[in-house]
Parts: sequence; C-alpha cells; structure tokens
Amino acid sequence: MFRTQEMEINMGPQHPSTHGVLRLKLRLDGERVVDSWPVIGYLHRGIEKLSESKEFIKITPFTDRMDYVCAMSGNLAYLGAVEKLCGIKVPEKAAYIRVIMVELNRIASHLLWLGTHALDIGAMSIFLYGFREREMILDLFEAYCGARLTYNAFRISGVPADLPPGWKEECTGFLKLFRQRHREYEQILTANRIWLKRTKDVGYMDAEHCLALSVTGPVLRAAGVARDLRKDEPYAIYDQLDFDIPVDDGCDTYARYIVRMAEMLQSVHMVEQCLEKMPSEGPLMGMKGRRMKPRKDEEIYFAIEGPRGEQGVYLISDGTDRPYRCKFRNSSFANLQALAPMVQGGLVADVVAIIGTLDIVLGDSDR
Amino acid sequence: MPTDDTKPPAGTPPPRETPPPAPKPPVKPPDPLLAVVSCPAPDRLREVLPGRVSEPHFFAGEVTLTVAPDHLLEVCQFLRHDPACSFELLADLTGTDFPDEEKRFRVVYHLASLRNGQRLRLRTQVGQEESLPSVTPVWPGANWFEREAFDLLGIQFDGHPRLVRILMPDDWVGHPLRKDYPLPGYPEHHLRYRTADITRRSYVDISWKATGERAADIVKKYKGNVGAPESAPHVPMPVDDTNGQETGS
Amino acid sequence: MKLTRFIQKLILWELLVGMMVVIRNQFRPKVTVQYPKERIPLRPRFRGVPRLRYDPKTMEELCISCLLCEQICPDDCIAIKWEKAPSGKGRVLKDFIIDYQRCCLCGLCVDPCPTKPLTAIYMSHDYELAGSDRLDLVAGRTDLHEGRTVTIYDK
Repeated sequence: MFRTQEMEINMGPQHPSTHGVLRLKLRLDGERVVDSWPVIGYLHRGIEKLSESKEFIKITPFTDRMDYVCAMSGNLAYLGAVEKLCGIKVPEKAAYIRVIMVELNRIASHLLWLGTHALDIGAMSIFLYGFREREMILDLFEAYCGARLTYNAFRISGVPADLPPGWKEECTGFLKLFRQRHREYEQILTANRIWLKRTKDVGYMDAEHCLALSVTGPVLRAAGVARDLRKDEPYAIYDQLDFDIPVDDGCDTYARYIVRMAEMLQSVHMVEQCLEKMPSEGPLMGMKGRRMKPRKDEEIYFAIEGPRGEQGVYLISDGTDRPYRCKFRNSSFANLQALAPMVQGGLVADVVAIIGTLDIVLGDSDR
Repeated sequence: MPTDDTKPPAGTPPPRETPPPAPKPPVKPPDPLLAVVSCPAPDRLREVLPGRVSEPHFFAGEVTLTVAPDHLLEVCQFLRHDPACSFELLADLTGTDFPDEEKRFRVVYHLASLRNGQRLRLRTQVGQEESLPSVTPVWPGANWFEREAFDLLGIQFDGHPRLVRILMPDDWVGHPLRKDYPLPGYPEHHLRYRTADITRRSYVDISWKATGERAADIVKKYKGNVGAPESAPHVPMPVDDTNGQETGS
Repeated sequence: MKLTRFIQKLILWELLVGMMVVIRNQFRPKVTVQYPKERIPLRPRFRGVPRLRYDPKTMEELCISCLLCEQICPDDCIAIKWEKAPSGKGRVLKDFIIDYQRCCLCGLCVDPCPTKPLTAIYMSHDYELAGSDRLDLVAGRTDLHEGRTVTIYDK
C-alpha cells in the first residue's frame, strides 16, 4: 500500500546533544535506527605526535586538554605512568592531595554528565542544579591550583603546593552540602516515571558484550561486573581507603544512572576519609630537579580508573627525557565503540539518551 | 623452537639484552623495576603452544611476551579462552614506528584479565609492506584500535571488517605518527589559516620562534611595517578576484 | 504496602516530590553572576596570564634572564633577549616577550623561577584576553610589567 524507504541522516557534528563534535550517520527506517556509523576525529589535535617532541614535564598541560571534564584524572594517569617508568616514589601527603583532587573531579564530571544527560532527555532543572554544585567544586580547584578547567595541578613526583589555608574547611562544608543536594537529585529523578520510561531498557548491553568491545567504567559496572581499578590494581593510596564499588545488573541506561549516582556518594566518602587521614606535615615532591633518566628501550602501561573508565597511558622510553612514544588509551574512545550496537534497532529519540549514558567527551576520544 | 631462529633480527634483543650489562656498580641493589612478577600466562603458553612466544620480559611489574605475526591469532585465541589466562579485555592496542629496524612497526596488545586480575602485553613486529592478522574475531573491541593504528601509522590488518581512517580526515595523505612524518606536517597539505589574505595585514607566523630570528626582532619588524609578510612564508589562498576585492575594500 | 504504592502511583507522588524540590530551589539565593557588570572574586592562586614583577622595595626588575621559564614552556611562547652585563658578571635583560596567542596558562614557567622570595614571573589575575589584531596579543616588556589595558564595555 505505502512504500517505505530507508533514510540516511547525519546527526552532528554540530548537534547539541552529541556532547561535542561527534557525527553520527544514521540509517533510519521510520523511527527505527537500522544502522549507524560514528564519525570522530573532528577534535584531533595530534597530541600523541606532539608529545614525542616534548620533555616529560611539558606533556602534562596536554593531558588537561584531552579529557577536559576530568583533567585531574588525565594528569594523574600521565604522571603515574612517568613515575612508574622512572621508578619515582610519590610522598604520602602528595598522594593524598592527588586522590582528593581526583575524587572531587570525579564528582564534578558525574555532575556534568547528570546535567547534560538529563537535559538531553528533557529534565531541565537538574541541569541547572548539577552545574550549580559543579561550580563549587571548580571554586575549590581554583583555590588549590588556580585554574578552573585545565588544572595542570600535579607535577612529576608530587604536587607543587600544599592545600591553601581554609581549604579543608571549605571542602568539608561542600561535601556536607553535597550529600543534601545529592538527595534532591535522587528525589527528582530516581522514581520519576518519565525518567524511568526514557531510560529503562534503553541502550541495553550485557557484560559479555561490554568486555568484548573493551568497554570499561560505569557502563561495565552497570552490567554487573565489579571492575574498578581503584580496587583491582590500587594506585596512589586507594588501598588505604574504605569504599565500595557500586554495581547494578540492569545493563541499561537506568542502571548506569544508578551506578554513577552511587559513585558520587562513594567519592564524597573517600574525600572525607582523605581529609581526615592526610598527614599534616611532610614533603610534597619526591625528587629534586626536573631531569628525567628513564631506562632505555623500556615500555610501560599505567591505567587509572577515570570517571569514564580505564584511562591508560603507554610510554616507550629511549633513555632521553622525552618519550619515544606516548599513547593515551582514553576511555571515551573505547566506550564509543559500544554506541553503534546500542542504538541499533532502537528509536531515534533514544539515540540522544544513549550518547548521554555513555558519557563521552570528544576531546578525550579524538586526542 | 622454530621462532627462536627467526627472532634475533626481529628487534627483540635490545630490550632483553640491555638489562644484564646495566648494573655497573656491583654494590647497588638490583633495580626494583626489573623484579620478576608471577604470571601464569607464559607458563601456560609454554605448555600448550611451545615455541610460539618468546621468554617473558619483566619491567615495572609488567609482563611482555613477543610473538611472531604468524602465530598471533593462535596465541590470542588461546589467551582469551584458556581458563588459566582468560584475558577477556583488550585494554589497548597500538603501534610504534621504529624506522631504523628491519621490521618497522612494533604493535602491542595490552590484555587484562578480570577473573585473574592479571595484565599482559603481547608484542609483535611487522614490516611496512606486511600485514598483521586482525584480532577482531577474538576481541571485537579491537576494531577501532586497529583502525587508529592504520590511520596514524599505516599498519595493515588482514580480516578487519572495515579498515578506514578514524581520526584523520578520509582524504589525508600520509600517516602522522610515523617518525619520518614532520611534526608540522607537509606544507603542501596544509590548509592554512590565511589571516593575511583575508585582512590584508601581515601577522606573526605561527612558527615565530622557529624562523631563526629572535622573537623581539620579528615583533619589531612586524609592528613597524604592516603589510609586508617577508619572513612569514605563506601560500596565497586561491580565491577569485571579486572575493578578494570585497574583503579588501 | 501494595496499596500505598498504588495510591502513590495514582496521585503522582514521585512527581510531587520532585516538584517540591524545584519549588524549594526557587527560594534559594541566586548563583548567577551577571558577568561584565559583576565579577566573581578570584582566589589568590588564580592563574591568569603570566606577567613580570618589579621588586616592591627597590622597584628594580627581578628577572635575571636565566632562561629557565623559556626552556620549560610547553608552547614555546616565551622569548627572552639578553646581553652580557658590562661588569662581566650576570646578564642584562633586553626584552621579554610572551605570545599570549600560544600561552596555555599552565603555570609551569613560575615553578623554576630562581628569584627569591618573589618569583620574577608570576601568574597574574588578568584573564580578559581579547584584541582586534594578532599582534595585540604579543606582549613585550612594558606590557608584562604594567599589565595590559582592558577596555571594559559598561553598556
């Protein structure tokens, strides 16, 4: 009677809900997505090529600009890799400060995810609330390292400065407030029937497929696998902290929401412990001078648990103070592979929900 | 041990042979970075697939095995499915260019086992004209990583579902992460930002310190006479005349 | 239990709870800052554009042209011109140029600065970088000491 025809449309690279410059070629049959082909690389800046010509210390600002939503994690992953390559020990106090910053940054990153993801689906006010609280974290970062987005807060073998006076109190006050506000987000969304309808059984991917596609982070944990590098391969001082890994076996967008919301509370818990346990005195830098002498022709891979998943750095040294090869294994790049299987067969309106739930940062995936 | 005959020219000796002569002062304690860690995978491979992989190399608590490209897929299949190894997650796949070596590219596979909490690095060498078997049948997630290695280094993977560029534009010439690719790129492929053509004014070239002059001189020169781009070499943009007049007036 | 859940579902309980949160937030103080008219107070460690500093007591230049900041700059945005001092010891700073187009405000240049107790180069609190020309953003020695004039548009 009526002839139907498949249609190919472009979503992005300037589409507001692709969270950056992701372009998605979609083949649609009516409202259904038949096939999709993500096109990335619009934000490729050649950071890996550029890194090969710079000394180790000079690469730290680049790591801020890869995953600009959680630049602290990027700094920690890169510097951890350099320290592993050169066998440098980080003083305990510096490690505590690093963990405090990274965990606060995880909260900030998840708040940005929550706001934009909810905004994509249609919840406006949570976006404003999430950004309001994120601003407070950025104020804390500004007070500590002077920058609000591209922190460059750590140096090789330690941190450049101690926490400023009054910072601890401000941070404790924020954490107390945040627990309250977190309850409000839950009140708005967790039981909301519109939210449930938009997220339940959307973007289903089980653990086996997640692992096969190298998907890590909250997406994997929402599929029932308790994979967290903070527990599995503890770096910094995570082995001295007491925390749980939130796991859900819903495998869908709603489960990822639950996991990330619980992770924020875990991070608050961790920062509170750190502030309590942190030694008040102690060195901040583990080594003097800036000259690095790594062993010749060695390679290392160091990964941390970023807000989006495994954030790894692979370094090859040639004995000089520059890396011979510096490869960043970014979680957005790997997680983005799961987008095509997730949207396949779903509705076109769910595509924005799935992009939101993967929590991608295009600067991270394109490098 | 069939692979051991083919190994020495493949570029593996340097990392394995440099550690022994390294400890010159004998009083020094052994480097903790070179400590041997326990990992069941090399032993299992030695039992089941003898001679396929090299002896493990330990550095900073990481285990590296070298495998020839012919045996790569077989070893990967084994490591993925063997219960004692069970490396379910391909954390990373990347390549490096070593232009001086006979087989130019070194490709590494970072495997992680969630069940055993182990990590392993597989390493293989491949020449410029050769190709590697794709590991997408074992880990489908290798798809994008292999595309990236193809895009940035020009390594061919056989059996990949669709090996096209991923980070660079489709019509890009060359593979940027190769060591012989210049850092600023090839000038003839540049799509330059030609402020001078648009605004009819000169600007300090982006490579302002690389021009050989000190920056102070450049600035003085440019601040002095606007409109004479001598040392800022740029290719004029191929615009038609009407356009140029409109922007100029 | 089942009945309460049914009633909650019937009267849209969870939506009402959510609306209560929204209404409660209506009466909280505003956090929006009307940027050009009002500004957020900056923290002491805020990293704006790098600038040079005079000695506050003697009003002499602090920079000793040791070139450490030029070496560590990841973007090569600092260029220092110096000469041998006529006494034969030390160096005389001739010109100090920072290309703000390239500067990424990472603050690495302040770390190795050897002048004590005040570093000669410091991250100032200026953050409004705009110009109508590329050369407006290349700061010479005087710009770096006195700061750059910022036109504030009040209407």
